Amino acid sequence: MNKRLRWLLPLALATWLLSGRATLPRGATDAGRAPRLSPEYRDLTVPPNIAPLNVRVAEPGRRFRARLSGSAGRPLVVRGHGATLRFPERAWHRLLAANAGRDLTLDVFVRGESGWTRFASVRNHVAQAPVDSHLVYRWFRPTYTTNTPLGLYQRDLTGFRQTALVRSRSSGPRCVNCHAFADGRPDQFSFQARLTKGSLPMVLVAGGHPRTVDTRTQPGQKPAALTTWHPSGRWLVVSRNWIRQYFHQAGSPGRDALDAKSALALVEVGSGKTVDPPELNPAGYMPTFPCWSPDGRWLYYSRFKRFWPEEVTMPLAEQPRVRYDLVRTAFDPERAAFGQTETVLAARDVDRSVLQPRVSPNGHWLVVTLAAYGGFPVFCPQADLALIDLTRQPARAVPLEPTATTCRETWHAWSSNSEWLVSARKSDNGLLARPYLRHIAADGAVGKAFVLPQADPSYYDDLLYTYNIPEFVRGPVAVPERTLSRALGREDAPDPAEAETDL
Amino acid sequence: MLDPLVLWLFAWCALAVQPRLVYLANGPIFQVGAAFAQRQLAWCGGPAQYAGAFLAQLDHWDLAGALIRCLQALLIGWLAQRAVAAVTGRETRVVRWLAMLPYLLLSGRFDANPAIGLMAVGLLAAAWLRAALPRSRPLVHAALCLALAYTVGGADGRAGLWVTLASFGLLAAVAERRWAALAQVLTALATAGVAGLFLAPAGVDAPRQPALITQLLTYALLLAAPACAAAIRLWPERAATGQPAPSRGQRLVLIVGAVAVVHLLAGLVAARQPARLQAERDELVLAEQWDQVLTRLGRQPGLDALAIHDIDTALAHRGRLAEDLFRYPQLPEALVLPMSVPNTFSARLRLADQYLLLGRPNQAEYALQNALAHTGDNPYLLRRLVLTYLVKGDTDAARLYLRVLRRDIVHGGWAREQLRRLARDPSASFDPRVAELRAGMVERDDLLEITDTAKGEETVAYFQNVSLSNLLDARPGRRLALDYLMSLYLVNGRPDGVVQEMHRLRGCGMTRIPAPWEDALLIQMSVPGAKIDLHGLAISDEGYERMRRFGRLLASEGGNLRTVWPRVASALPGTFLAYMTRLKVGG
Repeated sequence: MNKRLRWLLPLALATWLLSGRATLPRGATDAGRAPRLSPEYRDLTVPPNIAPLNVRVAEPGRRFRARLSGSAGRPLVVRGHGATLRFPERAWHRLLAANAGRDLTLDVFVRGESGWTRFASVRNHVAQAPVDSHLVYRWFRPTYTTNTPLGLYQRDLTGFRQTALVRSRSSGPRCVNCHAFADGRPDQFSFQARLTKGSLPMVLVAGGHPRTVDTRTQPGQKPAALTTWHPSGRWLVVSRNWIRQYFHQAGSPGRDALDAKSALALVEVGSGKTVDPPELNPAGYMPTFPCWSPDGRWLYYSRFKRFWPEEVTMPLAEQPRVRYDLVRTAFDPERAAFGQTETVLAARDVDRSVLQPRVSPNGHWLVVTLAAYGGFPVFCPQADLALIDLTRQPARAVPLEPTATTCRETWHAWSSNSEWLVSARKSDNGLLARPYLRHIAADGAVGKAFVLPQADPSYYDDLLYTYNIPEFVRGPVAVPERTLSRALGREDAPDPAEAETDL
Repeated sequence: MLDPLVLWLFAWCALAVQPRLVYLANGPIFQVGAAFAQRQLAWCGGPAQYAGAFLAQLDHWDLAGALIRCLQALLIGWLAQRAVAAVTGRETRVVRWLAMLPYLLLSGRFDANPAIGLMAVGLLAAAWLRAALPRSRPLVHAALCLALAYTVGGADGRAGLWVTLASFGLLAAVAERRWAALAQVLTALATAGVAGLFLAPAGVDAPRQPALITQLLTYALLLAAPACAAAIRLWPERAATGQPAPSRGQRLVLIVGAVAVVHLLAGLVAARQPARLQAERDELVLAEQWDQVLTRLGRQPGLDALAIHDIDTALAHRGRLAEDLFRYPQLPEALVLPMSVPNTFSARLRLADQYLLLGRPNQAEYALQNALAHTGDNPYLLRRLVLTYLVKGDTDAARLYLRVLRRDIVHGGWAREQLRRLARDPSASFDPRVAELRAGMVERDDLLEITDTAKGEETVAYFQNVSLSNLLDARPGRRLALDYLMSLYLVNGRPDGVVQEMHRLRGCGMTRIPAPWEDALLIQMSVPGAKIDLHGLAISDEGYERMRRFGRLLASEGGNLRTVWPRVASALPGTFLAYMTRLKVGG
């Protein structure tokens, strides 16, 4: 008996292991069309280091198989977990690395009542250029004026791991927002916090060590919000926004916001000294959404000239007519001084509010959000991204999506190699944003946008969290959450001067 | 044989407590699927919370909820007896009843932790297992402490964790010699300290704030077994004293007496819980049993704004708002709830319903989204959110919330059916309620400001009467809006508003003026030099007669409203004249 067991056990183990390897069915009939997939991962250009594009086959059937192959490397054959196709991470990365610059083909087989059916191949292209390894974003439930669990999170783009950088707690930060990285460096970044007792510090992390800075220079002033790091890492330009929330009584989305006032400030990273340069804040103008050019000699931002009296703090009726221009102001890094301002793209030329300028790290491209009105495209019923070639004059904004319907796409950011763009897009459900990636080729050819892959392809179907300000980072942020929380904990003190509206 | 106390518990729960009301008021969120399980099981105490949340779903059905409570009570009693017998070496039957008693009483509490029964079961099972394993083995004890802390210890917060581990330590210590006993207790407490670091962070779930009596009963349940064991060890001769077995009659008297005492205690503990009263009202509102609302609430004294709002809503749904408004108690802030109502399930549900009824789904969405941030994915609020998005025509957003609801045990079937229907008909025209609410929806995009006050509460810088006027401008035939508009003027003591809006009555097809509006018009007519345009309508003889009686009463008191108020209240009950007098005297 014992001798028999000695042979039988390895045999059973081998049989079990072999039965686990998926094989393709033979004699399948042709469906004559491509399969329906969710998410729609087809005709894409994907980074060679992206996490597996797991999909759900939206076709009726009982058993599912798929073969992913390229002109090089060993093909992957997977068996569906139900209709879900999950690709093993290591094999996936090997296959993508072997096929960088080439196409990948996905063949889907579905077994229904009448046997196996083979669907037409789905093709995706693997780009040569990789995407930055991590994405940092704010992740929270949609809320209006009450506190809700929210936090800054990072996601490993080569896998599926999401980890918290800093979260709101009942004690500690009440809200964290407006994070920004210096040149995509994971050890140098900033974010704003609103603490339980009322403090509103900016957290500056340099060399992995956090410290807090109060960016207000006078009583009643708003703290820093939207932030951009100078390429040298010596300065930040931040916006101060007097944000007011309001509601539309009809139509969607219901909520909206406006800036009653806004200004731009320069923060010296070393000393934390903050000034509001008059060149950026001429009387009557409202600047916002600052972004440095990669050479550090221009500051791009959106601004518009207020057409209501300064004492009006809630110009609701005027909002539909508010359109921001895209402008830039020269900067001399030697003297830390701003110079002349010039218009890059006037709102009247595109009949849209030109917002959220982001210059590609190679200085060639600039992507803006074109919104129907106002300065809060995230709440705007029509908001789409457009690409501007900075090497050509006059500037011309070309929509990234040629469709007539709006994608409600905002908060875009470039990868460090200027080949990948990430954005927060609400087109799936009209309410909650999802991170979408797309390839921008050196000649300006725009790839099809695709949603950030998840281990479970149904992940977004019932996810009630929204993604806000996704930013590429070149590596994992290594500062532990407790270190950031501790830095904020030291800062938390009552600040009766402030009564904030959460957005 | 079943314990008589357990049988009593079943009857008590099914008939008196009514677990479906507990589900409504205190039901934790539970979703089928790996994502929810992973989220729950990642924390100390998560397994008990997860299992407790699952079992609490069965509360939706009274009998199932009662049965679950009985099974847990039986398990608690049996395990307590076994554990105490194992550590003391003496079988004492009364331990079973003593251990069960706090749980029986907690069963009637609406603010009790749904996982508390499982916590007690886990604790007692671990203690029994500990007693069966070799004594004075520090590693075995520490491992059991850790397992207990993870599985059930953190399910009732930090305090619950400490009490559970202390209880376990004490039970283990009873069987040990002096120094070993101290080590058992210290190990358990140290484990509680370490495990406390892995509790779910605050804000992930809505914090529980049970009443003091609930907390005391919770700790009594967790500490009952070690208390019994310690008592037996301290006074072994009493436990061992062989009393003669009671006769059948004596046993009957004992059982009846025990049940009567427990019944009395349970009644005291469970009586007049605000959460229960609110849940009863919530149930009526959710089921739209408006006649029941009027019958039950109409008789109750001392109603709060939310209860009066329920009455007004019931009157509106029954088409009686204009005529019968003052037949029930009224408060100025009750008819149209302000946005600053508390961020509770009950208040936000009503706020959302109010705005849906008045044609403002965007404000309903606002109220619901804010509530969800506090209550978690409450299925009833999610259903309202689905309705709101369907009314707005945001089908994709409605689908998103339906997909979440699909994972709910109780509401999953409804959600799946709605998704199927939406797949066939994305316009949702299959739902008559959606069509009805859409028909009354405001079309003009007035902008509305939401600002924070210094206290951090939201306020609406917008007058509800302006909002209703705009709705009537767009839909002149919307009688419901007119009733609300006029009633809003009246409950705020503004008869002049009724005069201003008289031109709208014809548009709503009205041929006679409701009695409270007549009162308001007559009050305005009594102002010297007033010219009131009735737009072709007439005030009834009864209206004039009421005014004359009011005038006589007022004259008899020399025009002193304060002294005439009691007489007006008894002579003209249920009229605007009586309400207005009360409002003027500040009653």
